Amino acid sequence: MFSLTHAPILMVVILLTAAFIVPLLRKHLLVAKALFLGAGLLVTILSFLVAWNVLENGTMVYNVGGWAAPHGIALVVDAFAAYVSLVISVISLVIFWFAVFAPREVKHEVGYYALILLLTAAMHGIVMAGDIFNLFVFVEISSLAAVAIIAVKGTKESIEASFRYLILSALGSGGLLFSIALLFMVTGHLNMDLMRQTLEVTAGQYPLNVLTALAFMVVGLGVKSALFPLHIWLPDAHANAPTASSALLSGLVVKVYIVALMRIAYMTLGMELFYLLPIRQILLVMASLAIVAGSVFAIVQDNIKRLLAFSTVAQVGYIFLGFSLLSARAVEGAVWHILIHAIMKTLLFLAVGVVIHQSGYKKISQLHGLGRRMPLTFACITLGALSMVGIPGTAGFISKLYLALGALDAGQAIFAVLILLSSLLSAVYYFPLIITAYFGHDASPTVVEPSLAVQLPLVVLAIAVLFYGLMPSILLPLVRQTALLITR
Amino acid sequence: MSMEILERLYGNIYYLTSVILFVIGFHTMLTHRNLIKKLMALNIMDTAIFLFFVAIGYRQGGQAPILLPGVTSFVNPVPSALILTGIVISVSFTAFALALVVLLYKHYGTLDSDEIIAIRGKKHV
Amino acid sequence: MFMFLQTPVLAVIIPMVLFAVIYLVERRSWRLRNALAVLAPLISFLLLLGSYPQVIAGERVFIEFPAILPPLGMSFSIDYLSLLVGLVVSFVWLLVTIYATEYMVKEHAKNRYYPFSTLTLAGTMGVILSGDLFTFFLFFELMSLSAYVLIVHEETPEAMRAGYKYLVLTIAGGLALFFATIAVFEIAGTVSFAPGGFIAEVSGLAIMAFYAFLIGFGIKAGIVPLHVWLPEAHPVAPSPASALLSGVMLKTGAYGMIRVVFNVFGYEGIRGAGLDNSMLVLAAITIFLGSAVAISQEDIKRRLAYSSVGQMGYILLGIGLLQERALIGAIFHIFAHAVMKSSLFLAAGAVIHKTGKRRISEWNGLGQEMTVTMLVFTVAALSMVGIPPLVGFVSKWELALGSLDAGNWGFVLLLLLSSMMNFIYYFPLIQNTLFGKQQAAEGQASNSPELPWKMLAPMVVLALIIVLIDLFPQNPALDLAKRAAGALFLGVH
Repeated sequence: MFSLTHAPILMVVILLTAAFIVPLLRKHLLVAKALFLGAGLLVTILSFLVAWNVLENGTMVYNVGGWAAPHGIALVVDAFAAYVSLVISVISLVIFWFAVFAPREVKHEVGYYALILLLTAAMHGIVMAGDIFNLFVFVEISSLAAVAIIAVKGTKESIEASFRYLILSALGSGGLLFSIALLFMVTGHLNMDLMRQTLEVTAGQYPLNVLTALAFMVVGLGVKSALFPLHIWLPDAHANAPTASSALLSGLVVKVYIVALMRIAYMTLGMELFYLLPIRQILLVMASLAIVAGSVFAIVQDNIKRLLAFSTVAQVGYIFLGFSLLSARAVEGAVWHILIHAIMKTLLFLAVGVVIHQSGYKKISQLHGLGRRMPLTFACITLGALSMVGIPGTAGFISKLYLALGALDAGQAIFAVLILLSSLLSAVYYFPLIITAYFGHDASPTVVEPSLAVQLPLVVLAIAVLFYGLMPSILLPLVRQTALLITR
Repeated sequence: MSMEILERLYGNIYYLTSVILFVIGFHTMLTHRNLIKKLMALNIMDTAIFLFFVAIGYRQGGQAPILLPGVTSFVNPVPSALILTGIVISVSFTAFALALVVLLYKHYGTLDSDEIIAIRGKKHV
Repeated sequence: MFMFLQTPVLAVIIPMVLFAVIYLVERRSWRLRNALAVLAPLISFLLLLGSYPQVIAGERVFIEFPAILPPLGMSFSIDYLSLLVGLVVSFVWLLVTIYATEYMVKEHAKNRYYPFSTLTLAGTMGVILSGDLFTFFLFFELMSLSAYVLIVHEETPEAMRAGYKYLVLTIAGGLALFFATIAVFEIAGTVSFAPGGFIAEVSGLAIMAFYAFLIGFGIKAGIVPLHVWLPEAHPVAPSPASALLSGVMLKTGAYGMIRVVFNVFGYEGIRGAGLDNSMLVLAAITIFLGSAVAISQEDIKRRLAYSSVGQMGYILLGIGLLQERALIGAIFHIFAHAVMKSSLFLAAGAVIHKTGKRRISEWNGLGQEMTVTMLVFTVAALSMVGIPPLVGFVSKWELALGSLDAGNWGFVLLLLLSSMMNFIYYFPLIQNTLFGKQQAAEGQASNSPELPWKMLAPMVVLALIIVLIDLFPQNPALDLAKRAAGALFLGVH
């Protein structure tokens, strides 16, 4: 039996190394693709092993270079980190596959692969970072890579959208760095574990510093995770990116920043602070507004990708809602939703990208009868959409169930009603998509299904939607442990 | 009384400066339409935060933390080390943003953010 | 493993499996497809019939799967009530599917109709055989969503519009149910149906839950302010689907209401909190408006749809009175209305199928051309009015007795008034079709038989049930309804 001690850092290192080698292989495209997929696969295997190890033996702490906490940099893999990095590696593997086999959308393929690898590496880093500055560095890498994978499309709109994203993201980074500075001032530590221990003593002495830090943190990471009303960059950015990028951004990137916020605000600063500043109430209000506004904006969209992007705004609201309701089940629901929304949104973005590429149609009103031309793709879209609405039997129902139960547990039935109301709203914007595709006259007889290799990721994700809808118990231990860490 | 305030302000002169710089940057960023100016403003804001961070570790009369005989008061080296990383990040951000600005100018023929939005809006309608 | 092999589970799972099988075989052989579509309700019916002795002996079949979808889990059960409703549903479904194999020949996209009809059957059986609210809710959604495909089958603009209205309202109803279910779970920590109910104290959240139930089931059952989708959706569907929608699926709303009132809250809790009044008011409005609006309808299927609204009001009245005899009436009416309304829709469908006449004014003299069909129609219509030996009379009689038990004369008058209105909108129609003159007799007296046997036989069987069941020495449906109501009221099984 080999030891898993080095597995956490290996996950980051493998991806980073691959990111630097892949662009050198421009002349050997096949090798580059193989390396790209191989790195993804290897990291997925590692993340499974790590998750299993964490469940068996508890939290793993890895000291980079062998230097222990106060001086060295640590990677901490607790249940939360293991869970999220499992989600990241699996979903990104599916997206890697799609990026390799789907029709080309960008000029420099190898460069695109390198950016995706970089982004994935940074996401794993954010999730596992035990050192707050290390976390900041990973956040910056991921922000740059995220902007870049939008701009690579090279159209006017994508460049404009990515520039706007870059500026706002830089503002968010500034806020994050500032709050790290304030926390460092109070604690003298950068390691989050030590920070927490010191804060228990010193937070009372310097409440102003800590509260300012908290505020900057919420705004800084809120911008990056598109918390309403800081979401303005998202619809353009996600809608104008290449297909694989949209899926990656909407499915994973946005959520990783929420995880970062949870790690710092909840798990490092501690809950006691929340009684000084009504940050939970503010988050609750913003999350509710996100859910309602995201859905309402989505209803008026005709462009499918913009619709999906606005729906992401609403879904991010769900995750924030669960985390700020703070009852055990609500947090479990939010943790579920990180995975489940990643599955469904990735599925929808990839499938819609396939449809747009095969037919050239970007609007819902043009889809008439396409369901008969592309039966498998639209079956996947239907499943994804049903899941977004939260129809029982699909994965989306599970997170809604837990969130709504959690809202009742917290004694706030109004939020349960809100969650259900937004389900209705999502039905209003997702069902026309399905209905136009399946019913009505056949407007485009020449459209055909893409190759099987392109459809494989869709089918895999669609099966995952059904699987988690019917048998959520498989991941339940990990989800439960994660929730316990947060509500501790 | 007012002397006291002034003294306190002077004692925190680095923090004060960084806040002023931050506000200048933020204001410029919001009010100027030229993309290059926006980027400059962003850099000013970054600088403000760097100054703040470095000032945390500064000690009046402190020396560089190199163990030499007779040196007793050190500056905390950690913030300076961190800010080196921060500066690198900020440079790469700026470089990337400038590359995007070049592309934007190619596509839209202007650096005015309002005009770019207007051009885009026309295309949508 | 053997848990899966019990009657209630099989009666749900087999149609579900057949749904997939039909999808796979339908492109190869339409005969096999039709045979399988008929087989699904037949199997469910026989399975339930097989458990009849066990249930009559006073044993409640109950199977639990707590591991599916934690923390609520799933369960299935058969008691008197679910046995009666399940038998009615699967039997009507069987007849309607036989009818459909002939009716749908003229329609397009047959390969879509049969699988989804089977899937809807699976959902409906699941609703009826569920042992707790959560399972109920899951199958309710399955049934409602797959029924959408049946409603929009013809894909005309009206059908799409009506379907969309149905879809949005049905999802709203589903969400109301979902909210109510988890609210009950929050209050009581369980959602499993229990004799006499399990909510000890009717708190504010419980009242919210009750109204959410009322909204959810009201939308499905077409209770008046929430009925708006019904008169649009039932007429646009193909006639067999209309028969299923009006005859069978509406009843799931009423069935759910019975479960909620007697097995979740307990009728004493409902009465204590005064929640029965809201049901009674809604029932009265529904009975009156449903019957009144039906009179003004010119399209035969719309008239029948509005009549369904009024009839659902009867059932809600029977539940809301919280009297044993009224409940017997309500439960028996689930059976009676299923039989009557599906035979009416099948007969109307036969006319539309053969002549294309949807407007009532065009039906003059149809009796000469389609004698058997019109006789079936007449029998069912008379039963709807409540002429004595027919089934419609039995349920009205029990309802009226229940109203008197509750000391409420007003409802007896309302029942009489509604019968009058039923008479007004059915009788002229019967008169004209049987004795009226055919307009512009085209003289094409075809020698071909009136209809193929596959369409005639189901209608005739339904008509025979309407006429004969109360002439039996012991009316089996009424017997089951009495046992069910007794069990619900004693709070024991």
